[in-house]
Amino acid sequence: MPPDSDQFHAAHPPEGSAPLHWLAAQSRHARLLLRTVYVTALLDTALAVAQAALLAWLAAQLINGSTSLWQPAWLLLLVLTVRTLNSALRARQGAGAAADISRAVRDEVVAALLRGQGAALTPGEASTALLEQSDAVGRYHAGFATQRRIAAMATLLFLVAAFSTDWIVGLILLLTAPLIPLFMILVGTGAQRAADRQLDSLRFLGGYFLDRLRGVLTLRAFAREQAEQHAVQVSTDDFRRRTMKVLRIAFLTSAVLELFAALAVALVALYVGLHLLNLIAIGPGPALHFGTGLFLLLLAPEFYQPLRQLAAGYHERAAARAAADVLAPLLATPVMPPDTSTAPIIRQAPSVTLANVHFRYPENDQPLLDNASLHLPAGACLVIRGDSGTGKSTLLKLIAGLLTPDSGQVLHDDRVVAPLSHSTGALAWAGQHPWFVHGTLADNLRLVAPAADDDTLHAVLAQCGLDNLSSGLATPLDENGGGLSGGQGRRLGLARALLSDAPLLLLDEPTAELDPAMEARVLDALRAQIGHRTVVIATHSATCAALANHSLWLNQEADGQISLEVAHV
Amino acid sequence: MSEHTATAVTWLRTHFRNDRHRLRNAWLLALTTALAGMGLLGLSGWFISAAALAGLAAAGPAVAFNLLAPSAGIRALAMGRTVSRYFERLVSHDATFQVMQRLRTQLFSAILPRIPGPLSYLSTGHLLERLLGDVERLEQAWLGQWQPGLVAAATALFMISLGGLFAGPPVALAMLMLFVLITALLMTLSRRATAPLQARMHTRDQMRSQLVQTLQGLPDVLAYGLRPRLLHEWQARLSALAGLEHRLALQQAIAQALTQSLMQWLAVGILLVLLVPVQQGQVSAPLALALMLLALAAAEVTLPLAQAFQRWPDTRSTITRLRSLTDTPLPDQAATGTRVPEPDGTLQVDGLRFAWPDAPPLFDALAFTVRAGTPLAVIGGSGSGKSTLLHCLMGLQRADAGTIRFGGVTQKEAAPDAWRSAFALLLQQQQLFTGSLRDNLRLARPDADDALLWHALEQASLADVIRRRGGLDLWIGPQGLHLSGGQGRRLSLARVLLRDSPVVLLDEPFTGLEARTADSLFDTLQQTLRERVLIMATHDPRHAERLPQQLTLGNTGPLAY
Repeated sequence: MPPDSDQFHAAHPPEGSAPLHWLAAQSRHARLLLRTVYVTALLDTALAVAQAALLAWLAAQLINGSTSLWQPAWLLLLVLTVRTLNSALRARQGAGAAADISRAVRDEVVAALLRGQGAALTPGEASTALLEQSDAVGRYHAGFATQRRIAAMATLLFLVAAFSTDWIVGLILLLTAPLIPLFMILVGTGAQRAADRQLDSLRFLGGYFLDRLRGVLTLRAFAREQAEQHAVQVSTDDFRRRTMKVLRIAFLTSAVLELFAALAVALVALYVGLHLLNLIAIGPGPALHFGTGLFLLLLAPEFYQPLRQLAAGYHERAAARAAADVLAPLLATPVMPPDTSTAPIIRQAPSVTLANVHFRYPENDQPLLDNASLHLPAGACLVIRGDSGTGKSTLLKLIAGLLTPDSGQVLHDDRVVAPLSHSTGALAWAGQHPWFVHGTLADNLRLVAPAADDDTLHAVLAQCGLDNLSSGLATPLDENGGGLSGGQGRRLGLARALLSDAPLLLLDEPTAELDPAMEARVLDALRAQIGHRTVVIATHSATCAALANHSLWLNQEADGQISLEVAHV
Repeated sequence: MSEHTATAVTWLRTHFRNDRHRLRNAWLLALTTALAGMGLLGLSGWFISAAALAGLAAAGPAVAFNLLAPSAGIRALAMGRTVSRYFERLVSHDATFQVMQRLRTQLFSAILPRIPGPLSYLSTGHLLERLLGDVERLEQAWLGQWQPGLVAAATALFMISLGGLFAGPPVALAMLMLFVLITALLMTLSRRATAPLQARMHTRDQMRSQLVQTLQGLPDVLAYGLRPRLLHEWQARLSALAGLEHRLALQQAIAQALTQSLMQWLAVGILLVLLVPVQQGQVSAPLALALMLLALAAAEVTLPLAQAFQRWPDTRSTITRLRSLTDTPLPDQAATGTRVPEPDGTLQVDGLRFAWPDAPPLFDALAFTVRAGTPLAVIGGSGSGKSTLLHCLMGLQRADAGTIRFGGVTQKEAAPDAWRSAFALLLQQQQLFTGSLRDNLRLARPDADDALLWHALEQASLADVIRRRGGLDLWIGPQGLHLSGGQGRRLSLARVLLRDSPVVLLDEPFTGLEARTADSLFDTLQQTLRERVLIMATHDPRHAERLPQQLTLGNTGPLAY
């Protein structure tokens, strides 16, 4: 095993940094807003310095018994007003930037998912990528990433203000400041590792619950409910312990930051106090009077504020990195197979050829198809049979171009099949889960044949046994197929396939759940297609299989390998 | 709305009650942290201004000034603040997580007996979101909302009393009015954000379900070249969501700016109000400065308030969602007695009726007897009630009328566990759990040793494959995905055989198997189970015909074969 894992690491290092590059590049979607956030944040720093100076001035006048107090007072109120408005603007633009970036990422995610690039994701993971993970990227840029730049500039600004007033105080701040990032890095790497472990354990908990919820009937049938409740208690307890372990490190980090901030205030106060009591004589000496002393005291807590905000946003970075690990590969531009032919697509039944196709799902170690080859002449009808799980649907998807083989080629006539998302729709597909739009049954059919008249639609519906719906073509459907039963929905998919004029017809279990009379009707309709179109059908039904003039058995050997045997019937 | 808040608060109280001592400690620690921070800056301000006055008066080293007390105080406050903050976080998080852990376990225990059943209208994904996401959101109910709110309230009281003590009742009254005004403002902002927040949640929920549907139908979309149309629709949806977020951004920015600058305004206000009294000598200048700095340091108390108020509507709706889970009545149990069936090889059914709510009965006045050795085939089209009948027999589902008798006991009289343990059921849908093959088999019989497990695998004609693929420790992946469909089916079957119960119910045991695989398995099963009460639901007439008894369900139209 060890040499194997070494190889893995050696082969993949460039991919590890790709998500980070991708993440950094996303700031381009809200450049203007982010710049506003940056400028307002710097302005806030300057205003904080001004506010401290004016407060100190006012207080000094008061202590000195001076009567000219109203000038600093008015200026102070003005600065406060500007600072409040400025911070409102900063918050508004920050949230806006997050929204804009998330939206742009979502646009790309939807486009990629609709190209079929999300095949490796479950629908649940895909929706997490679209919603939560896109959010995480936006929040990271408006939050942590901006704050990191601001913290550096603001720290510098405060240091300049402190040094120009009193170099000893400047030194106190300067000496404590670099310790903070250093300590954060030390603790941060540990925290990252612990956070990763915790994320794993959250995933485990999610998988655990999901498993139990899905298998609830089994648990009940085996009278395991009590035992499972106990097991859940153990799992959640473990999760809590892990979470606390991560947080303890995080709390320690922020405690160190706070300690520095508090100690700096204490040191500055003592230093200034001793100076004013004339008990020490280092530093600028008489130049340090009460006003400057108070100014420095007010500056000390402000100095650590940007760094503390940065530490508080650390989890944003972790979330965004986790999101980038999923989103960057999803949005990576797919490598297009070279187009071997520039001839226009001919709307004629194509021949279908698989040449030494190798295909494996990323989550499996066994390839589903290994060195598979077959040839189907134009206008033929191929029926694929085999136990479920042997790859019938996968083979259909490879022929359609929905999946791309790991090696080898799929050809329609002599053209290498392009990924389906790049083709213009030259095939008809009726899968196990048809797609519905909100509208009438007719709307759903006309998607593939906009010019078809009602008579044509009625004829197709009759062929598929959908002519007995009470509202006929006007039957309303929603996006989830509400309005039709599961079996009827599937037959709608079949009706679409028959209605379209695509020369290649790919059908997954077209006659499942049909009674014999209905199955015969559907098969008659399909029989009429053979010759004009090339038809490929995956099925369990022996009756349906009789349609074939070519047949293929997907056999599962004991070791999980698949063998292809095409027989001419 | 206030009624909603009241129920939400009561709910939170009930669930946090067990940890109330630790939560109170966390609150006290948080308050200590806040007051220490305020004390640190206030004392420092007092110290340097008093030192300045003493230094001016002495016109040389002011050795008479009591240096020790304030400097020790400053150091103690600086250290104490850090320590109390660290422990506050530790205690509050630990207590909250304890509450959340209990809540998760409770919710899971509440969900389990209600699916399938009253909670079936929620998808598994939704239920998972309740267990993980919703519970996680509630962590913030204390950490991000109630604790900061209570700390802010206590700090406000403290500052009002300080103001009253040193600057007179009018100042205290002014401060009180300011705090009430700010709270009202924050509440108004949070109420105005409720509608867009809900709209956003609704939009996101819709997007989630539309995305799932689109991805399932993606082959259709791509094959027919309908992608541009869909992209167009999605862009409109995404714009709408972004628009909502921009609207919320403004409201959130106002609340945030308000809480951020509140204490700065207050600090400046205190100084300005005290200008005249200081000049007239009624209030000492160091004290005025200390009060101002105290207010300035209180900014960290008000900072989390904006989020606390904004997230409260979200917390409330989360609580409503969770309450609707736990408040759903439990489905009726089929077996409610205490008697234990003594296996006698005869299962007797009489007058059995079952109907889904608002639907005609699936079966009515159903009567049959099955003896060991004469298996029964239940046939009928999809949706005719084959699975429901098997579930009724086992007691997973309660029949509306009729009696089921086995081992001299009716189902109603039997103890639930004893009744169920007399049955083994192969479910129609595959239910395998993430884990090893051994874990999955032991579910049926936790005390089984390896020899017994191998025996069951032999009977299900799976032993050879498993031996080649690494034995009982084989990791079968999430939901058994590392096994093929046929292997998974046989594993489920092995589990049922392992249970060694007198009644065996098989629901479509050959789904997803090609005819020749199914036939050989059918022969093995008949042989293995010849001494049990065996009922097999199937839609395949070839298998039904080979069993001695048949029962046909469904009277709607012709049978499927």
